[in-house]
Amino acid sequence: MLPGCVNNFCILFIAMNKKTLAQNWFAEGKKYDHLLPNSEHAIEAYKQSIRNDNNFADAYVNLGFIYLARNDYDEALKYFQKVTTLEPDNAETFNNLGYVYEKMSRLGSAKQMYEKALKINPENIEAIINIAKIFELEGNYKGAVDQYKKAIDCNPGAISPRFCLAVLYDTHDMFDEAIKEYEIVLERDPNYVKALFNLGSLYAQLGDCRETIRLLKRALDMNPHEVTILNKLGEMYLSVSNYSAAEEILKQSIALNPFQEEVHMSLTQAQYAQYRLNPEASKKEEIRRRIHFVLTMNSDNKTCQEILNALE
Amino acid sequence: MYYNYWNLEKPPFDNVPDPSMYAECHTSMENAIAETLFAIEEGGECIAVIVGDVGLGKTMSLRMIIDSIAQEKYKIALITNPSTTFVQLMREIIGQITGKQCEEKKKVDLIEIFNRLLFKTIDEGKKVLIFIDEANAISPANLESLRLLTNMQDDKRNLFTMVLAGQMELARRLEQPKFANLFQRIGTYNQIEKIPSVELVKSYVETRLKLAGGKRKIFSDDAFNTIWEHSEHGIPRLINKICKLALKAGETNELTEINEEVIQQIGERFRKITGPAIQKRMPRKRPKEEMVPSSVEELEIAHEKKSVTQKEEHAEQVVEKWNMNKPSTDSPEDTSTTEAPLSFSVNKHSEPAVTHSISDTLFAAAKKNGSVAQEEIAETEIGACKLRIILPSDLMQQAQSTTREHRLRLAGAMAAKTLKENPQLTKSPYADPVSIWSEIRDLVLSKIG
Repeated sequence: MLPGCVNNFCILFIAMNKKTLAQNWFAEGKKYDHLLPNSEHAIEAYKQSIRNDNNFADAYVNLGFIYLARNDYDEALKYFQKVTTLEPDNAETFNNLGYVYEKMSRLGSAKQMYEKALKINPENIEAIINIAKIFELEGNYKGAVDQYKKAIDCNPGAISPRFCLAVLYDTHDMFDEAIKEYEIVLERDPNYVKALFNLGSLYAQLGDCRETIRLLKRALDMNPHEVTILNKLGEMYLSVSNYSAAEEILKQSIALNPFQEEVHMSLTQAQYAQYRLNPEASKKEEIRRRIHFVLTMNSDNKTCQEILNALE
Repeated sequence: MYYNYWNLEKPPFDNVPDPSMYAECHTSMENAIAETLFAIEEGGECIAVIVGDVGLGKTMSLRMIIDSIAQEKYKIALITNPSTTFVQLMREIIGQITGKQCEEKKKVDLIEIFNRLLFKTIDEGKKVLIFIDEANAISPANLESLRLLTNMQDDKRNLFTMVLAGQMELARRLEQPKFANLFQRIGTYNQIEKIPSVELVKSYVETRLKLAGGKRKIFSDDAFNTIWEHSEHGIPRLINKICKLALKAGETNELTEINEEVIQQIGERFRKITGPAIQKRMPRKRPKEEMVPSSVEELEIAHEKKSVTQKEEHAEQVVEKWNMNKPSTDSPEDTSTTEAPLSFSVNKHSEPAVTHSISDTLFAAAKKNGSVAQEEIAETEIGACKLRIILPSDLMQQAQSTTREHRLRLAGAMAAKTLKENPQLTKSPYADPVSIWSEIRDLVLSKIG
């Protein structure tokens, strides 16, 4: 072998070795990241990976995510920016960078990054949704609606833009439009808990208690330990004077989080209503105990005092 | 659609920005928009300020101002969260105006860039406009730095206009003597208020109905008092919501007018309305090829990691599916802090005993007072948990010298805290926390007399 070839071979061998080392350090970093998420060990391992191969995009990405999780946005920005230089044709890298800018409250820069992602891939619905979110944050309702619709046009089967659009309509009290979008979401995914809950809450505002209860029960089937659903359902039962159902549901909520003063009050109301229909001593004692418990949380609770006086 | 039922041409009470629906309706908002537009377009003012309480329409006003101005004449920056460093604020302003990211690190360099940008924009026959929403969140130091920006004017005119919109705190801050220089530069100052009377609410509702093509009276006179009450005395957004729901209810129930009773029913639904659950947002991690483990040891670790990852992924899915604002789990106020210290421990039968202090500070305070902390122990079983409460003797003495009512409250507070610090006591979905609390309270009470 000629001396020049030996040299080239050595260089190639060292380069290959460096790449393997970089990959090994990267694997080490991933290991730490799983066992000790966002730890210094993981950071050091990824940095070692970069020292061995300064074009190793995945290591920069994972470092960016660690700093993002640590709310160190300046550092995260540095690494995600590097990825955009390594992979300038990857829309996702610009979405990530945009997200860091968003976290830094630099919405203009974030939007510019999402637009770059869209330039690379005009049908990247993630970028379109991100732009819509920026419009929302800027109070640009129409702009946000247009973007979500654009995302839906790009991928009519996608649930995410429809759900986001439904929430946007919902927060602006566009009841019919929101209902329509939530229903489409539920057609695609009948177990989408947030859509079930939000649609139920919408029907509650419209005064359709039956539909509200039906939807909230479905949401509860999917997520039986979510106090927000339990509380809403309990309130609905209370509003239709189904006191025993309200009591049962609100007790479940209290069992999950015993220190919800308002829920205790609703439960007290449900129990007191039942006591008035059927005055049992044990029920009375249960109500009294609950009231004393609530008074422990808030001794100024006037409703408690009123019910207590009414019981005596 | 519901508005067709009422012979209207379009929805009259949508809570979305629509300039055609604001004439003569909400005077303070209308004035804020008109005067700010004047400050920008005609007056060439340096600073315009819009203040108002939460939910009265400041952001919507800014949006309507931005949408109303001739875009080709201005270079616009809109900042929605100014609670950041001045450097970040300037980077964002410059980035929005130029359309390119600015990562300059030094304040002085950023100011220099901004200055050049102002003159360049003027040379292009345009003007820079900076809108800052939530301006009440600007730190005093940043407010002072923003004031320094306003010094960058030429002799004849202001090179840019800055519109500050914020809550009343902004108004209070601007009135402070140390911001006198900034205050002097304010060209227009507007406060958006609630609609101040039942009569004006009536006028607001009827004007909007007319603007939507309404030709007859839809809301009876007695409805307006109730609208006023349920809209927290004139918050336009709530008025719109109530009226819209009323019109929809009217359509459903085939009513010919909306009266007090309908509004009352709708108002009561408002009692516990919470915002909708939103989707959690995170950047999507890139799919990566799994690394091939190079050793058996690594393979085992990878296997372990996979199972951990699967669990994490499952947990993430659950969280992703359900990520709404959870109700506060904050404990009740610790009424015991001025009463008496008490410590307790809870064991599961199978687990080693761990003693938790119910109130370390109080316990320390009792020791400091020279009291002998000879412990008395109360034990009970609740479900599968063994509860062990340690009562220092000085506390026993203190409790004995108070009234029964006081002891009852003391025991109740202690029991509540015990419950809070030991969630395992109420872990079972069938556990009744109040019964458990009551049981613990009785136990404490039996010991303190």
